[in-house]
Amino acid sequence: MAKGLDCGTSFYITATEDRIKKQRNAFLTVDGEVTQVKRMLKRQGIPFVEKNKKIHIVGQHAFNYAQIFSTAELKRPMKSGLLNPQEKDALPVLNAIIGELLGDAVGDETCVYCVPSKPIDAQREVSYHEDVLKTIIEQYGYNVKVIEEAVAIGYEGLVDNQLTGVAISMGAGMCNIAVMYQGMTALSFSVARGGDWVDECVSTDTGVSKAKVTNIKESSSTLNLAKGVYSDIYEEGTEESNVLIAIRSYYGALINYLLTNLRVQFEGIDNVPNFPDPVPIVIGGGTALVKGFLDVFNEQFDQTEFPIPISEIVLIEDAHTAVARGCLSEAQLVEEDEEDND
Amino acid sequence: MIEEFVFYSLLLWQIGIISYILLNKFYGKNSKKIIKTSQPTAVEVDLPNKKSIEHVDVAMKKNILMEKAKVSNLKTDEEIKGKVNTQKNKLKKLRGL
Repeated sequence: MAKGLDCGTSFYITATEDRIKKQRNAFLTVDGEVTQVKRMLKRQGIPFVEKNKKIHIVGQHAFNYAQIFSTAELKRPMKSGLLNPQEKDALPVLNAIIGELLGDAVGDETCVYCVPSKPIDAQREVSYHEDVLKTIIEQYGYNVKVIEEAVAIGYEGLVDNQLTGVAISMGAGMCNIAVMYQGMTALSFSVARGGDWVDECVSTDTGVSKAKVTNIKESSSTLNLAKGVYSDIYEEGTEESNVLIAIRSYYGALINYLLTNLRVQFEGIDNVPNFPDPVPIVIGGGTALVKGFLDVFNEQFDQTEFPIPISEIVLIEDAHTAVARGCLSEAQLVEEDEEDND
Repeated sequence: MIEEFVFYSLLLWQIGIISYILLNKFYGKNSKKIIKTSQPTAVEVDLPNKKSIEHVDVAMKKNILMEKAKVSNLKTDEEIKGKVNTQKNKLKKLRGL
């Protein structure tokens, strides 16, 4: 059975034809005597990973712990869309997360995973990240293929437009962009800013911990970035209202950064494809999930400055799983192709 | 008058001569030894012409060794069961498969 895997900074998501599985990509190292800690965690049914005499709580449990105990440091195996160089215990945790989500391959199964495009604002290469993930997935017995994250978004959102348009994946660690023409990628790049950047900026400006900002952003029922709604319901001066105002502000700054860099990159490439007809911008990814996101995007978008005529700006249905579903489509086609060849 | 002139001029001559002898004796000229060395000068040699070859990129073959960690109770945080909608069929049609 074909599988698509979205290797995100914040979540790892797998898609198969009959289910979607999500695992928060975070962990927390528990101090204390190993045997005792293990016994305690097992008793409470809390998942953990053991490596080199260290015990790490993994996934949503780690995230929840970090909310409750402000001194507990939530660790991230990935940062800015790539493996976190500061985190020495990242690989065993990633291995465990991928193993849990994919399971061992049964027969000749294909897994398509995604990697970011090369960032234009960070001195990082994608190659090592790509190889590590490939090695882990192959350990579980899969035939592995990789595609770019934004292209996966294109496979979900641009099929009704002959795979022509602009695909944007708004992730936690990065935003990935691909300008596609007839299924080919004319331009792709990433910027090392995303939802985490918003959280960090908001945390710095409001004095609220980053974990709490993330939690408010993801779970606040009152969070709506749409202009009319936003200005009416929040009481000024409360901690939450300060956070929400700052979130809206930094969302605007993030989208502006993204669009400006897209324009600059587009002006800098040779052989720019000609788009005679307006094309859509399709957006997916967890950072685009917040209510009122499209309002902020439309506020920042200026057709007169944008190098391509745009017909519409669309948020893909179930934006959080769009990358995983795009990978799944590719994996299914690879498997069908192999079956036909056999 | 003439006698006085002769006397003083002789006196001045004597002072001059004595000063010359004394200076010569104590601050005589240091004779500098000049040693001739035969240091070969650099010569230009013709180097073989190097062709300007551009670098080539090679694919890295990385052997990333990774042991599986011991995992206990690890469960997926969220699982949504049911048919997953994808655009596979449209994608297939676009690719002419």
